[in-house]
Amino acid sequence: MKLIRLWLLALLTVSGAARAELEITVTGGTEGALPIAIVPFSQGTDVTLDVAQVIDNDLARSGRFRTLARNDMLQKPTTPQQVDVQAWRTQGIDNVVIGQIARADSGYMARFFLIDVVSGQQILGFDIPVKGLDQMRYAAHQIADLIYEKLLGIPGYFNTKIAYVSASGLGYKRTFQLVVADADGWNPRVVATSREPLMSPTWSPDRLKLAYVGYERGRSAIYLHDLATGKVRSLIAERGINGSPAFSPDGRSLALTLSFESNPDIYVMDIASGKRRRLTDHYGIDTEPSWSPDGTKLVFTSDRGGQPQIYEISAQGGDPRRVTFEGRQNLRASYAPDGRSLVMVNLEGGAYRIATLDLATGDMRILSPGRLDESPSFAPGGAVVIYATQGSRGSELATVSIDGRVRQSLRQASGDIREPAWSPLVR
Amino acid sequence: MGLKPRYLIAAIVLHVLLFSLLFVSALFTRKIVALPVFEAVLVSDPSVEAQRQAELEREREQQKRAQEQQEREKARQQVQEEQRQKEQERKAEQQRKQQEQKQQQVEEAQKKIQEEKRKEQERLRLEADAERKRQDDVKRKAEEEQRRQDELKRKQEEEEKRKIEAEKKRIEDEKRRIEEERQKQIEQERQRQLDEERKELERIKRAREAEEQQRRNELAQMAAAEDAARAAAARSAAQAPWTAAIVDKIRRNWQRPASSASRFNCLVRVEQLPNGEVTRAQVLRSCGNAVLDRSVENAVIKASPLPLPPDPSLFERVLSVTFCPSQDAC
Repeated sequence: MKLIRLWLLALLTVSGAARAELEITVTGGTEGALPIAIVPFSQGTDVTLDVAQVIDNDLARSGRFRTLARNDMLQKPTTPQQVDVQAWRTQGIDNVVIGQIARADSGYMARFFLIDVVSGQQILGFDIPVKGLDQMRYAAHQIADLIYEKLLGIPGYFNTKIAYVSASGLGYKRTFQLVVADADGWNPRVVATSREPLMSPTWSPDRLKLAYVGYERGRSAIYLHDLATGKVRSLIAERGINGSPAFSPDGRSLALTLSFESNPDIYVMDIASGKRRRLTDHYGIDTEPSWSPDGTKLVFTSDRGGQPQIYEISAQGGDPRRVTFEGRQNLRASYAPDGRSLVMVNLEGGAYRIATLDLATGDMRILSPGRLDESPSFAPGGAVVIYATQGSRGSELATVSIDGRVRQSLRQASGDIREPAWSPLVR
Repeated sequence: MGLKPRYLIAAIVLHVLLFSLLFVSALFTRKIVALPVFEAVLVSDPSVEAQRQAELEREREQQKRAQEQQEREKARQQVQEEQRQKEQERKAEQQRKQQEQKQQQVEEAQKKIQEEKRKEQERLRLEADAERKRQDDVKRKAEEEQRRQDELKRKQEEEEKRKIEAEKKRIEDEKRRIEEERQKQIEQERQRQLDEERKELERIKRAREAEEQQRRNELAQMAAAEDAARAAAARSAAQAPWTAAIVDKIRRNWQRPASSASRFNCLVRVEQLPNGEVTRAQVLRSCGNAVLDRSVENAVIKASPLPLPPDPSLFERVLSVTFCPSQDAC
């Protein structure tokens, strides 16, 4: 009783004291891309790379930023003192990035500032040493990463890699290449070439190795490719299908599809010992396994229900649970980095499109227009999905932000490009 | 062979008697055998009846004779019997005499033995007397001793009894003393408890009074606060259109990153000048991360200058602004 009285008293006292301040509540607000201006850096003519443009492209492609076009910039400051905060604010800009590239004792020095023009505060400032001009792109990606993390609170992924398969030539001249490129598609490097198909490249969690499916005289096998040494070893070459390798998050196991025992089923193989155990056993086709980020579950594609759909299963085995119900078919699912959603290929109305599925609500969201989109793969951090799509000159790579707002094709060499895989983020 | 002559004589007599009896019986047996056998034929001739009468007569005669014979024999046997009895008497007399003689001898011997026995007994009696006398002495002495000791014991017992009595008395006294002490203590304890109770009652009374006082104060304060709250409510009701305008402007300027947290609740303290210009925005309760905190600070700053109230008296210099991504997150 006494307590209640005291409590009431306290409550009244507070509300009495609150008379001096006005209490208001704001709900909602706008969730979306942050307005930012990347002002061209001051740099000598020897630096041919437009560093600011690389940063601009990175941030814009992520879908999390709305960058101001250079033509709309009223001023192009290069030092913090030159920044007229009010002028930027009137343009609706919250953050401004300025910088300069200068020669240094060992190469170059990239200096940049991130200025919050709302508060008028410089919230980021770095000097980044660059050994040579060939490293300038990586410096630009690094600056983009720093800005991304400062403004969004999650690590940037612009210095990561993508692996994909490129096919060129026709008939008996057709050649398959396994390519590793920067996250923006630049600097492609061929790591493996074959006259027979190369398929399903996948990154080890330490991003030092690639596993993929190759053929030799018409027989499939799963190969492990060490990117540092270029060494390749065959992990498994059973009779029938050896396909869809997927590294477990701890990098010790590989989930894969094998058909030597009956029909295609999911297996988990210990990479060091080569021991494998069968995860699914069904007369339907089970394939395209992918691990949850915590390594406790897997999703895979199965036609046990008549049409290919996505099923989830414990990493220890057991009864799979169907997770997709929208769409005629759903294929090639993988988990978002937070494990809460899946990205997959959705077939509906004759169009293969990229879609995300919220595992908690079952809400499916179509991200790409189709018609022949395939092989989606989350970027680290999960802001963006990379996938293969049918372009004007054949199959090409594109990215889409997970709100579906920003879609971009990646710069790439000619040829049919398929099955992109985004490398993990290694900090 | 130590057979006594009288037994021998008796045996011979017995034999003779037995043989004679045998002889007599043999005599009679032969006579019976010699009896003629009649074949009875019934005839109606009275002569035959006469003959039969004669026959009967004769037979009767014969029976008479046999009877006489038997009587004679009987008498003879009687004589013999008497003789034999006489003889037996004689022998018994003889025997009796012998036994008497023998008895006499035995008695004499017994007498002699008894005499010796008597003498011995006499001797023993004397000895026993002496012994008894001696024992009597001892006994007397012992009795005396016993008496003496009894006396002593009695005295001791009396002494003991007296002592016990004294001890009992002492214990009783002690008990009484302890009881008195206890009673005294109980009384004291009771007194103390009464005192304490009184004190406690006083304390409670004082506490109650204090509480009552406090309650009155609180009530007064509550009343005052209530008044203040009522006034504040009235004031805030009047301010409502103005605050709505402020909320709207801040909301339009609140931009947060895509895919940021969906549930948070943060508080920003805002200071403004009378012209609505924001001089300060400070996060008092974080939204959970620096990015969101900056987004709410910036929302306020971007909303500057804030709208002004139609009535200048409703203006407040300090605002407490709560930010939530949605109504149900607040």
